[in-house]
Amino acid sequence: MNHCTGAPAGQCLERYIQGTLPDSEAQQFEEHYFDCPVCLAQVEAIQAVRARLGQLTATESPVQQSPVQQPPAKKRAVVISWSTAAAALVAVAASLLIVFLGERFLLPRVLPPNVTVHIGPQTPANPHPPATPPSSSVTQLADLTLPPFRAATLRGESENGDFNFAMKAYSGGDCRGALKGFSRVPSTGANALAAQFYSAVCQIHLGNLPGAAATLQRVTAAGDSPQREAAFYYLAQIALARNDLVLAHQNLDRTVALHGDFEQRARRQSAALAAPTGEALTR
Amino acid sequence: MSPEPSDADLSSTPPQAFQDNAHLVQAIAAGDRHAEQAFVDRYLLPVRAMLLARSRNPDLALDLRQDVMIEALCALRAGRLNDPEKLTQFVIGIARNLLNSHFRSEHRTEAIEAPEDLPDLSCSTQAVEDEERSQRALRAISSLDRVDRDILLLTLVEGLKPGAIAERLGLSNDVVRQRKQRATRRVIELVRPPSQNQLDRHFIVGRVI
Repeated sequence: MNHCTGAPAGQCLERYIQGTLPDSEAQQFEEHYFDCPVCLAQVEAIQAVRARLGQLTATESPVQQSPVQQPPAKKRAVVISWSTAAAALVAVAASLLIVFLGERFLLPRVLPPNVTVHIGPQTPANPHPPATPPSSSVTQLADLTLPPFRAATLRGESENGDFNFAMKAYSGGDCRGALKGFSRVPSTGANALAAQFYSAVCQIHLGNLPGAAATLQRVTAAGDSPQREAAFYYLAQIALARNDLVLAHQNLDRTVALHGDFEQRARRQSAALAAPTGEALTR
Repeated sequence: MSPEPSDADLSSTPPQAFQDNAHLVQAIAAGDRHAEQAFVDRYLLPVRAMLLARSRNPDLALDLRQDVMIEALCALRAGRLNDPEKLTQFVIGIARNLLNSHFRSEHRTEAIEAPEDLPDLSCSTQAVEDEERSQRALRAISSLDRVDRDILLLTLVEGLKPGAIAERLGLSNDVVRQRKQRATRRVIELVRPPSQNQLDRHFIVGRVI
């Protein structure tokens, strides 16, 4: 029986995650949590929190950034005109209000998977309006998370060995392994379009946005399919990531028009893009 | 080598069967596929957690954890672990070596050659568990008040010490420390699986702590 109460994690978890724990102590802690589910759960929990916080701060930092990280922003802030600064202040105030309402009424609810949440600036310590151009807010709206795999079992399916193998790797988060498997799926088989779609998603995950866009376009060009709506949605996300607003709008509209699982997400993104500050996507 | 077990075979294998390190190591060396799966089930998650903690790169952690498992299994099959009681240190050593090799060469040039008859390394339920944990993390973060969230962010993401955080937020060092400790405890309670709250239910495999 494990009678560990999590004390080892309590003592060194934070420094371990920060990478400031001396190596000998880090090794000792690792030897402990490799065999201790209580402490391992704490490590995984804090890693999940760190990842989520990192996503939030990737959109907009809630506190003043260090000068080392944001010198260009400060320089720009000096040269902007008074009227621009005033307009930016109004925009920030509006976004703070939206964020406050969003946090108060929306965030505590159970969120659906794969929804990127953006929390706006919240700093009492930052007296300056953010000098980030709206375009960066747009790129940060891009939802490039992996969609969950939904198996569509069809009667008479028999040649899906490679596809199943690839999807197993995909479900385990192994995008490189999944890509290898998808490349072996016959291009004329029942799973060909699904394989193309998920390989595009894997390409997104691995940072190959041009390749992913080309693959997704092939999926949409193939006509009506279970993957068509999702393909439009992810094409819109790629366009957002590339700051191509026109293409993003086009693909979001196409997503909405198909009235499927991605409709609400696409509508919310369209609304966020249409908002004056291009932000406030709180759900 | 025993024939590859089916899913049903594996699920019917009691996990306690390989709690003992010596038994587990011996069974893997003898070609027992159930033992190999038990080994993977036991070490896949801690290996990933370790790789993530040391690399801070989720993709790399996912990529390398499979290599760690493959290399460890190949070594165990070949009977290269003399002291079964050091199984955990053995796995940690492999993980650390692979990570160091990766950083030394910046990118891996040679892939580890994987035998064909490996157990399931994908841990297919893990993606769902990860997503659920991530959602719990989001809810935990949003349950914090703004200052606590800022303190956690500056600590965990930006790696600042309490003194620097105190200066940035206009608080005292003691207040930052206390709030950080409280916020950390709170998010861990909210994020870890509910079953982890009943500590005495957890048995430990391999060794007594």
